Amino acid sequence: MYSFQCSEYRFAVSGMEQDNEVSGSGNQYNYGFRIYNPRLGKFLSVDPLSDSYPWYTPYQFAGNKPIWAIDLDGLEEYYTSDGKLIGKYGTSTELKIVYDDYVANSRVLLSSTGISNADVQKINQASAPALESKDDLALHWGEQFNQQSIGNNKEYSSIIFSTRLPGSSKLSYSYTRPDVGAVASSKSSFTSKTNSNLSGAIHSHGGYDPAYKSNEFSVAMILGGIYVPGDISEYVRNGIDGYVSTPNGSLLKFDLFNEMVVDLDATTIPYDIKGPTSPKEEIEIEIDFGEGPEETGEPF
Amino acid sequence: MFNKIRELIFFIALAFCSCNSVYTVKKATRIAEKKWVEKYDQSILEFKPYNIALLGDSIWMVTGSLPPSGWNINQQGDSTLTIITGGVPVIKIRKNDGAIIENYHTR
Repeated sequence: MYSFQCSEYRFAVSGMEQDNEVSGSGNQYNYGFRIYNPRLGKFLSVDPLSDSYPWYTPYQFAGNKPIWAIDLDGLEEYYTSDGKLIGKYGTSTELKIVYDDYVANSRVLLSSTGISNADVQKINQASAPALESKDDLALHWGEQFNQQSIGNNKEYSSIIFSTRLPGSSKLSYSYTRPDVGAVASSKSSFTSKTNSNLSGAIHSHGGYDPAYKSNEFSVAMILGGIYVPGDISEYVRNGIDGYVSTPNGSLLKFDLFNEMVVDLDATTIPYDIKGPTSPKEEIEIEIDFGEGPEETGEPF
Repeated sequence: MFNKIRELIFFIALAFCSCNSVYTVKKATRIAEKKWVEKYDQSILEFKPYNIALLGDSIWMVTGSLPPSGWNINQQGDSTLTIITGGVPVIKIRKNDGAIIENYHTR
């Protein structure tokens, strides 16, 4: 017979080990670098990184935002040790939210977007990293969402925004949760916050469809004196770089500074096998020659 | 009398020759819509208003349009940018005979 007593479970909120011998059961957690007292809602010692966060009391827990942020090790609020800031927003138990701005700008998708509930759930639970290279971030986006965009033959789009890391001169880039658009257009929104700045936009072109020019940016035209917008004109108008992941698995970038379109030579973005310009999968053909005639020792 | 008959024949011939010609914006638009619905579906008609130009006095070019991107400020004072990316249907129709030269959709 299997028996289980909750009182034997050693770990508490945020997965940290309880230290019941000091202040009684469930009243002290060991966060590695510091000891946390849940009754006070504070750490018992000064944050070793408090110099980098002068706006916080050195005893604070999870940046004083315990509802949507967790403290990783009692040291820092959001960041992983390698500085790449892997963040998740959703129902995952590995919830580690990176920025206020990501939460503010990432609207939860509803099932009314015209895709299956499973796909909606996947998007809502997808993680948005914060990376120091915008191109790497765009590649991550393409790897994560191009397959679904192809399957649903709908355009997906996100805004790329930059944030300056606290105590650092470096910018890190992240993206908003993708919006699901129509077969040939999509829209994405970004609400300006104090910590983040609009930096780019990325969208996908859905699946291969011979009725559409899918493997390139749409270009603006002036027609009869009227300006007809395209992808690139929107990037120029907003002063940002633009990216598109296409059905053939390419990742194209409109480089605003040089005013040119560059193929980033992505090889890891999912593609639509129906497309004539998609990479062809190598098919290994095994030829079975059989075992041949049995040797009988007799001449033919 | 002979001149009158010649004139009549000329106008009848002109009428026959120009029955497929596209001389007006209205006719060019009608052809564009018909071809787009045939190739795509009724939802293509949402790309109004159309932009129409006569290129080199010989080819009509008709395109759809997208709603503009832009900033909005809500009651709390937050400014939100909405960027709309995407494509429109494009068709090129020869003025003389109404032949379709190109009919595609950007993305």
